[in-house]
Amino acid sequence: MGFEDGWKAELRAAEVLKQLQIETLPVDPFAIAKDRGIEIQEDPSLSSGISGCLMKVGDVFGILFSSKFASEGFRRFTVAHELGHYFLDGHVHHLFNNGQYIHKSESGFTSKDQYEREADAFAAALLMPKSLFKAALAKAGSGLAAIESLADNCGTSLTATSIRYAKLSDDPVAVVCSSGDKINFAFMSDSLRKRPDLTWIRKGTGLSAGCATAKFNRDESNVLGCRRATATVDLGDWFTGGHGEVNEEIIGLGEYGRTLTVLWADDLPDPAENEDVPEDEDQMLLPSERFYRKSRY
Amino acid sequence: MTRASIAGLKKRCPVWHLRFRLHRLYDIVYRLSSMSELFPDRLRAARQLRGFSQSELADKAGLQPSAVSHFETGRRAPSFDNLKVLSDALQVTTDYLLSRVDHPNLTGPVANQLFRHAEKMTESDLDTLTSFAEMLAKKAAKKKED
Repeated sequence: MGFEDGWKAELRAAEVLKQLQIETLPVDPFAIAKDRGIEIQEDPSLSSGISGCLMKVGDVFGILFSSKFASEGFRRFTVAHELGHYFLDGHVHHLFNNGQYIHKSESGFTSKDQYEREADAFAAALLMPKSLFKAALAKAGSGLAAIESLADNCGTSLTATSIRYAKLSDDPVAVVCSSGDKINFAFMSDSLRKRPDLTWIRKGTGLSAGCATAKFNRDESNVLGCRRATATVDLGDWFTGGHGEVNEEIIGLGEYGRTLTVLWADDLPDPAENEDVPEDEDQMLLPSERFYRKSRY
Repeated sequence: MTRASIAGLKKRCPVWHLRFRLHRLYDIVYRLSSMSELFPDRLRAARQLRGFSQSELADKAGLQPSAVSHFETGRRAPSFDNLKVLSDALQVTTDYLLSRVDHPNLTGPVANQLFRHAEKMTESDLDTLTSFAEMLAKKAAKKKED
């Protein structure tokens, strides 16, 4: 889920919520489906690779989702994801192009398919609407404690909530999902992205051996037992180039086999001056803009 | 994106400008080549069949006044939700709007097949059954692959 795509999904989710006059958390995706006349069925026998599917038989729509997953948040997200396929423009022709009448989804925040990512973005925006989420965020504090309280408010999983938190927080925040010494995915807040001195944490890359998460992951029982750990580390342990103290909070995600790490700080020292950045703001402007400024001021 | 900001993009970041243009080109080609080209004509035909104007239909379906015109010119691709409200307003099937069948009251093959086996089922039962049938078919197909 890049930071540019997903705006369409965000808009559409807001429209749906507005139309149904939903203004409080938690948002109930089952009620939304019911309102649109979509049949929902829970099924324990779906294979574990499929979390849900949207189906069209004649003019009847149905969502079948797996009840294999223990987490209520995951199920709600799955249903919201399928609703994304239902509500988003253009998904009709993509999903049913080859005469298939059934669409199965795998949501895991890392799909390469644009339509899957868009449905994930829709689900996140539906269950954690920007304005409501930001209001709750202001009361929730920061770090893992905030994510847990928000997850509780929104009825969403820790993972989905942490991604939304990183997207909407004004603080420097990064959330990293890892297994073993590998990063499954990572999301950084805008204030971290904007820093020119940091290299971004990328999915598929390795964890640096020195960080607390790498040590945590070495003992599998930490992950399976949903244990926690906290550390105070230097920004440089995670990002090459940065300096400043950040909190590293770690929680094992149990049978999911992954670890969630939240890096956060209330404030970071300003990045060191970089010589490549032009000092004069004028150099960043187009000639026409420069002319406009000169003639104006 | 305004003309001025596109020009700005070209100047400041030629690569992104090129990507932006390629993306638009891809978008146009995609629209022309995919089956979505059938939808605008079918929608217009269905609307004329019922004798509605574009704005009347939009009103009946609870869509924005310009939406129907956007669909009929192919500028906007519909969502399932759009299809559903349009088919309800026009009293035709969604499969007809999708050009899967050539008669306004027919539905596509899956439902027909099921009707053959379970004629007395309610719609909700039918849906449940379909989900199971399809699911099992998928599982069987998957096993074959393995």
